[in-house]
Amino acid sequence: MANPDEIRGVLGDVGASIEPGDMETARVGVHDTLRRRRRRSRVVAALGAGVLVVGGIVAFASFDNSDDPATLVGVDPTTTVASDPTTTVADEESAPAEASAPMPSATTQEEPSAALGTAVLLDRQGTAVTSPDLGSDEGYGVQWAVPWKDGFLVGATIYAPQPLPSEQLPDEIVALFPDEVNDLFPDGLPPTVNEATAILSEAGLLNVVMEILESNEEANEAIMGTPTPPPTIEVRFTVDGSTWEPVEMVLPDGVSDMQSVVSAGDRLAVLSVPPLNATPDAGGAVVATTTDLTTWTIQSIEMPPPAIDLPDYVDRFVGAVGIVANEFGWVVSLHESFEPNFEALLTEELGAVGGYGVSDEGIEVFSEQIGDGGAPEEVVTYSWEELGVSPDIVEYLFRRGEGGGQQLWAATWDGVPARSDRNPTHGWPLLATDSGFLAWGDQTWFSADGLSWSASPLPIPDGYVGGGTSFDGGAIIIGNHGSGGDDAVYRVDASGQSAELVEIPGLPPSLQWAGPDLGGSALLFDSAVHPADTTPVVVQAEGFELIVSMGAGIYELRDAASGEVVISDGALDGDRDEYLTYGDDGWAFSNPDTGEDLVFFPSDVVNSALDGHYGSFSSVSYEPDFWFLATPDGERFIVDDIENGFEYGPVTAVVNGDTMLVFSGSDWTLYNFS
Amino acid sequence: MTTAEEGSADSVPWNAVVSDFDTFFAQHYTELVRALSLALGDVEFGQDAASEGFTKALQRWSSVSQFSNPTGWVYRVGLNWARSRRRRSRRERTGLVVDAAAPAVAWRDASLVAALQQLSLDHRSVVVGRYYLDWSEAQLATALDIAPGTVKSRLSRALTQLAQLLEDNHGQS
Repeated sequence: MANPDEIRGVLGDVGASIEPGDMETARVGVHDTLRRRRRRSRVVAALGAGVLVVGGIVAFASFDNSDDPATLVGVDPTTTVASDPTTTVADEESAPAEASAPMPSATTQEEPSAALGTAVLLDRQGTAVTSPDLGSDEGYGVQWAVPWKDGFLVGATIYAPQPLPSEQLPDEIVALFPDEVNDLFPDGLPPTVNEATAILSEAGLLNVVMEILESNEEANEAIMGTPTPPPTIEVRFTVDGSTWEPVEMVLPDGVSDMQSVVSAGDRLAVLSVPPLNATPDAGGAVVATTTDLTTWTIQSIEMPPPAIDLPDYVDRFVGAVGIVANEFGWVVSLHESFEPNFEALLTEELGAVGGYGVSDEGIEVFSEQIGDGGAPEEVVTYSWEELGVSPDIVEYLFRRGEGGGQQLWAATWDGVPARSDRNPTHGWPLLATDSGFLAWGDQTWFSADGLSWSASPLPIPDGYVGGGTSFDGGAIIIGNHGSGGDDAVYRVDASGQSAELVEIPGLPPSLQWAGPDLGGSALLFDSAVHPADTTPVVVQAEGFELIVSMGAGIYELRDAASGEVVISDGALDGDRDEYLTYGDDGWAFSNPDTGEDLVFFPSDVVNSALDGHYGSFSSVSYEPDFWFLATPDGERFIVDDIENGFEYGPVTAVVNGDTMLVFSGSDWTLYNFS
Repeated sequence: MTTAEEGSADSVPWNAVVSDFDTFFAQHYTELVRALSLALGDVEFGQDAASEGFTKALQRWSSVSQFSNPTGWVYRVGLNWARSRRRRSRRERTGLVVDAAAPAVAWRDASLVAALQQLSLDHRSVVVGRYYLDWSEAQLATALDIAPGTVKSRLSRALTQLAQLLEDNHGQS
């Protein structure tokens, strides 16, 4: 058998010699490709109505399509009138132009309602400390780090070799293999596949066996189907990073992996989701808790099956987003998704064609490969109905599989897990505080037990909260106006109230929050400057102007001559059928009160204008520069630039008391708040 | 019908979505292009596959970003895309060009890479995932959506085939 170390080395060498191409060009290409693909559906979504007022008063709803009632803010219509925008005129054959005038919006002009709080910037330099040796030659790095006792606990999961069945294989399985193979195992198979591989390899029969296994599912299952034993865990403990002590920690039965690890007080909690759960009936997770790293308490989460019967060609996945915990209990965020294998529907049609794509009408089959700028020779669309996919399945897969499949579950440390009364939409930032749990969507959400949540206004009017980190008695959160711009730091109490805008002098300007999504002891920022995507696209036809600003979540229909706002909408959910009819050829607006036809915008004109808008957005250069912000108490802060943070990727920071351990790639740094 | 795209990035502030995705892109673009190039045996094809994977990741970023291993998801999407294109494409691929004069690429490298290209895509994808991306077998199983036992099978067979191919190549040289 080839030497894995040699392969690793050679692949590393050759991989390093591969020129990946210009990253910025590739990034722009990704955005442009998606922009082309989603052009039509994006516009449809942009014009979804949550709140509609005709003829004067304009109301904006929050920029979130959750199932919760929208927060409405009345706004003077004059604040939304763009000044002399460049327009796209439907009647002209020349290429439409995008508008360039910024659209003042309520969201950008509102001052934060929070009071101004004070902050003390600590001038602390980090000290480089040693890296923990996990004692594995398999290349495992530290996968998690938490505060523990008077120091820090870090660890990684090491997976055991695949075991082989100890009993004799059934005769019908044995009969699938030639005698020369069976003769190698007169007393049964060895304990693991590693030994069997060595024996077969030495005999020159490994290929024979592997071909049988790959072509015969029953044989593969009989030999390779033995459940893998629980993985072993390599754990190290340190007080100050100068020395790392090995710590024995054995995962309990039923915990196959460590998707997310968190500590609260003297407890360590592990969220585990089976890695392979691509069956309709699968779904669940386990929270394993320990106080001594030896004995565990298991709490099982059983997710309900899909609401409809899914066809065989659809796999269902349940993934772990993460766990947050406090003294009283925990909240787990799980994500359910679906992956349809559309090729299974097109076995015959795809036999000699170039490829396929999925649209809202069905599956488009190309007669020749598209790519390299070439157009397909022929495109045939098979409708969902023709393919036997019922509308309810299409709706369920596309709607739920994209963003609605996230669930919160919670329990006290000795309770039975139950599902929360709220579904987080699009990944609520989630925090545990010493009073309960905080989450942010269109509003601030608080729950003492993780099950029943109550809402209150965000500290940032019409904005959003990206994430946060908690301390005794409160939390520091990162807010941003929905229209873009720099992030701002707020301090809230442990129930998310009494927000104060905190100005921290050490933070560089032009901040964008970069993580983490859940919990975490420090906040990561990117100080690179990003564009505020509030430029409106303006299309003109029949004496009306249609103005769309995706970044601000706003559109308007105005009388071009008088400037009167006829229709204005800032939300995504609602009944746009009241005033908009969307067809392949264009968009027809009517007066929702009288039903009178107002104006028709050809779709190619609208789409071309939006192309220009998003093209300009995606072509902006992106060069991140990561910083972190950490605090032990919400009053004192440490701010530091992360050396090579971009190169090394995600940064983990763990605070315990007055000490913070920061892990960036292979670099470990210790900071002291005292 | 409402398409999948409508409910994702449009529903959160677009700047936040893009900023988050761009961070992910910048951190993983190079390694995924290289991994897919190694697995597919063609740098240009690897770039295309990575672009396709990242595009679909951006399209579903609100979901993909929540996965425990979004990189694995992009790797699998890129492989699946390449698999469907490869068997239908008449286009000649440029191949994985190994510059033997490059200091980091010794003769043994070119030989092993040549042997690697003689494996099936299924086998190459696990070898690259295991030994280039340094994923555990369990991580590979999740990323490629195959059983852990299948990962074992493919790795074992791939390593054996590589050894035989290297031996054959040595014998011919």
